[in-house]
Amino acid sequence: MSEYRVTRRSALGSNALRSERICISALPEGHVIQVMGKEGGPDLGAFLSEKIGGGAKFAVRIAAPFQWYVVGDRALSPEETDTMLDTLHPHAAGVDQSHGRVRFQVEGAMVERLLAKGTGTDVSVEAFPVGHSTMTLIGHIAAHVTRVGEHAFEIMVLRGFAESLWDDCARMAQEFT
Amino acid sequence: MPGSKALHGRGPLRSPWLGNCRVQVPVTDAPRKRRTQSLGHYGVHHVQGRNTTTASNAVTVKYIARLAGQEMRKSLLQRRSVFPVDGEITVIQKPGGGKQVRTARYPAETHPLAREAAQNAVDPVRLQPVRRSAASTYKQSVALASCGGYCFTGDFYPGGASYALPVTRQRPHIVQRFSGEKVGGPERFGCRRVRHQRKIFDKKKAERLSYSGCFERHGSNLYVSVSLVQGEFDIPRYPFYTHATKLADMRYSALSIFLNGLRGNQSWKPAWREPQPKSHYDVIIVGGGGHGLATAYYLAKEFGVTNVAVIEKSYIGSGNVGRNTTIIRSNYLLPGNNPFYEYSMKLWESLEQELNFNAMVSQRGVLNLFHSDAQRDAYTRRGNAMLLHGVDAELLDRTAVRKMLPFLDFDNARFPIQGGLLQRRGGTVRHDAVAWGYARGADQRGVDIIQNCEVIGIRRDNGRVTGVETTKGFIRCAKLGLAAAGNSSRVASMAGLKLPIESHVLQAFVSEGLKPFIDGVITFGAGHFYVSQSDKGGLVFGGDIDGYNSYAQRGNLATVEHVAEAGKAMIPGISRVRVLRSWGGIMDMSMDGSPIIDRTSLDNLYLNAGWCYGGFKATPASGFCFAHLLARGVAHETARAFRFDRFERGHLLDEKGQGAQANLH
Amino acid sequence: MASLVPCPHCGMRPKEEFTIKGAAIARPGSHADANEWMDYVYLRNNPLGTYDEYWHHTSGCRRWLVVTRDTGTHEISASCDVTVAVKTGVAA
Repeated sequence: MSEYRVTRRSALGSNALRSERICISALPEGHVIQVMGKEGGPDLGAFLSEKIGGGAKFAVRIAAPFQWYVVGDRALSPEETDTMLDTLHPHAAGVDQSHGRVRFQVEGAMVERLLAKGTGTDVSVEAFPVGHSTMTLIGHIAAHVTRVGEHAFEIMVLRGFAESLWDDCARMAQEFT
Repeated sequence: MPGSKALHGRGPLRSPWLGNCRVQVPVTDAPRKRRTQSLGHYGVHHVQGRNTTTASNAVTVKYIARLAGQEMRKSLLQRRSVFPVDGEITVIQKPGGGKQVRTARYPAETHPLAREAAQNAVDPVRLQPVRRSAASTYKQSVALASCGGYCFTGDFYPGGASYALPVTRQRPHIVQRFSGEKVGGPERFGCRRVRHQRKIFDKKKAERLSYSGCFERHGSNLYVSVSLVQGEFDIPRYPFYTHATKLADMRYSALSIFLNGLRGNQSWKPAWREPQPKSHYDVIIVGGGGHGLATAYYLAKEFGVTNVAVIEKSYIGSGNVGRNTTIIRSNYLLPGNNPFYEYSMKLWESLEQELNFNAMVSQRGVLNLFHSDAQRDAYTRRGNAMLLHGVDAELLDRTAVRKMLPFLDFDNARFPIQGGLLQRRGGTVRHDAVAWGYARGADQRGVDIIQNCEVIGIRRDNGRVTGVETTKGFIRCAKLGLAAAGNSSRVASMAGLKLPIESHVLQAFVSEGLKPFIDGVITFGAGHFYVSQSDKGGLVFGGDIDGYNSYAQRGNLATVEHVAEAGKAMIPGISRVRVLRSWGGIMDMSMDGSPIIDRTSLDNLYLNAGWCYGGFKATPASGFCFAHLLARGVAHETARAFRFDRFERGHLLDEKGQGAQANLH
Repeated sequence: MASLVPCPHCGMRPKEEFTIKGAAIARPGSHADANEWMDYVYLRNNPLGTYDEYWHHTSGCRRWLVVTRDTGTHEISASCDVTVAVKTGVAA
């Protein structure tokens, strides 16, 4: 048996970096469904929130025009996923990206200053209120950023880049810890 | 200044320096008719403004008198060598093959300048501040004394003149030629006749002095144009000092530095003139950058076309020739590219001797790093292609690179350095000196370099270009060459052409001075970064183009960041080096990444464009090949692939294989 | 152009997030002749002044935009989604 056999492990594990002013922590690898609506179609935010987000706060995020992410901490079974994707029909199409995108949370008083080191997006609470989300570059890595609290952001990134972005954030947080 | 008043406002004096002048003479009668007319007078010195010209003339005369003594002064004045057109001028004209001799007389004694000079010359004290050698004055005076003809040569001596011999093809706009009459001096210093213009440059004896000049008639005005093409000349009866000084004036050398030092470095002269445009040129080149100046130089030197103007909207060297990272190399893969760039490399290797100008050509080696097996294979292929074309190439392994450049990040986790492709003959050249050297060389051969003159229109008639509208007026030309890379599309659009080119900005950077640690040029294979170290110690580096169309000569911080990151990835040790300055240049990004040197749909319009970010290394060959095309009408053998129509023919020359996406080349 | 580029969907974003395609010009129809394709594929007006370009917000909303920019000053006067641009006739 090869010592390099495929094993299942989470991208960030239970990594955490905690200090008084900044805290970075991996979130459970639950589910991430990308929803693609029709070009020029209606806003499906409310529909998605109710039907497949289960009404959970911050479950539905805008990914791009006519595109959304529905995320949750609970891993779904294949059957549950299929049911969820069927629900979208015919309003939109869904793609299960649960294994493709990884989330972690950055919070603390210095969170805006931390993010500002990596992104050109204005992350002040006036321009980026709670619940708002966007795709942007953090350093060289594209990430989906959602404000989940006054001093808390959730960052979702392609799995292959997760460790790199974590390391980048940890380094950016160094001066605040 | 004494005398200036007497001469003020005497007529259309135009920018004279080193014997180049232009005098307007009304022609009221048929040229065949024998008659006498005043040809006006010349100015003979480089001047800052029009009003000082006449004063400068007077000063010259005075100084000659002081230096050479009373006898020489008399002699000079009698021989009118300072004001040759005041003397007898024989106009030889051959209408329809017949020969007719015309004489115009303007007695020296009656000329106000001469009179004033004679009066002032008796007081040597007043002449003290004027720093000008007799030899240099002679040079200028002789240039005038012998003015005329298309282009002619001879040995000159004080007070003497030469016979003129037409040596270029007949040009219809030139209505007559003339020679200064021989007014004195021993016979043995008479002229040498030269049958062909090539010989002026080929034969050592004939190289002593050559001028180009002509009469041109436009409307009711007659223009006399004279310019020094090339020259050294003997003044046999002069003492050593002036003889040596004369040598010092003509060529840059250790001796000239020494002798000029003796004279307090007051005698250096501008390396090129600042002429006003003539009304007509055989060839006009739009763009006074490296390529345009080189084209003019080779036109005059190699192809015998001296009635050439280079038109530059700003000052020469203000564009890309002064904005690049000074790298020269010929490490190209494709058969259409490699011989051309290698030809350029060969021209670089002899450039300084040829131009008598220190361009700091430094063949310090260009090393392209590779970071993966695939990249090694690609570089191996390129190296082999180079060897097959007779170009030097070495494939270095990691150990060899490490020995050469131990400070690189060899064990970078993402981009470990596996080796490099080295061209030892590659290197750097001081880019400003390239512009200046070519400008000086072209100017010496009679090319008019017209700065601060922007082309604002191209006048066409019946499928041909008749001339260019400029901010200094309309100038006619027989052929028009565009060498305005960066702005090629804009200039070509004046002639109704649409080019396969986008203008993009490329940035370059110079760091603070560091102790020498990079011998050659290194290019990063895993990002956009190339670097060399200047003789002052600064790192000269750059990266990729910014990627958006621009005419702004400045770039974006995103690219600055990328270049800095790539540089640091290659050489971690430079992470704290500060950047002193950065700038941008505008690139002609062609649709296949290769240049165009070709004719266009207009009969006498020629295009030199699309150099992307590789124009500097190509400067000599580009100039040579464009001159070849302009003079002979066919492409030079190394530039045959640079055809304008290759896009529609599908014969692209795509070194990077990126397709028709200008910002990816 | 500063380092910030306005995206109609995301607001001001750094230039690094974008990929630049180039001139926003109309693609010829399927029956276009060789000259039209030559013009579309290779030839560019390349003006000094206002210029419409396709930009892709690669690291953002991943939408194709038409950015109207001055090639002499780099100032961006407008940007819109390519679907809007097509509707208003800016691009095709």
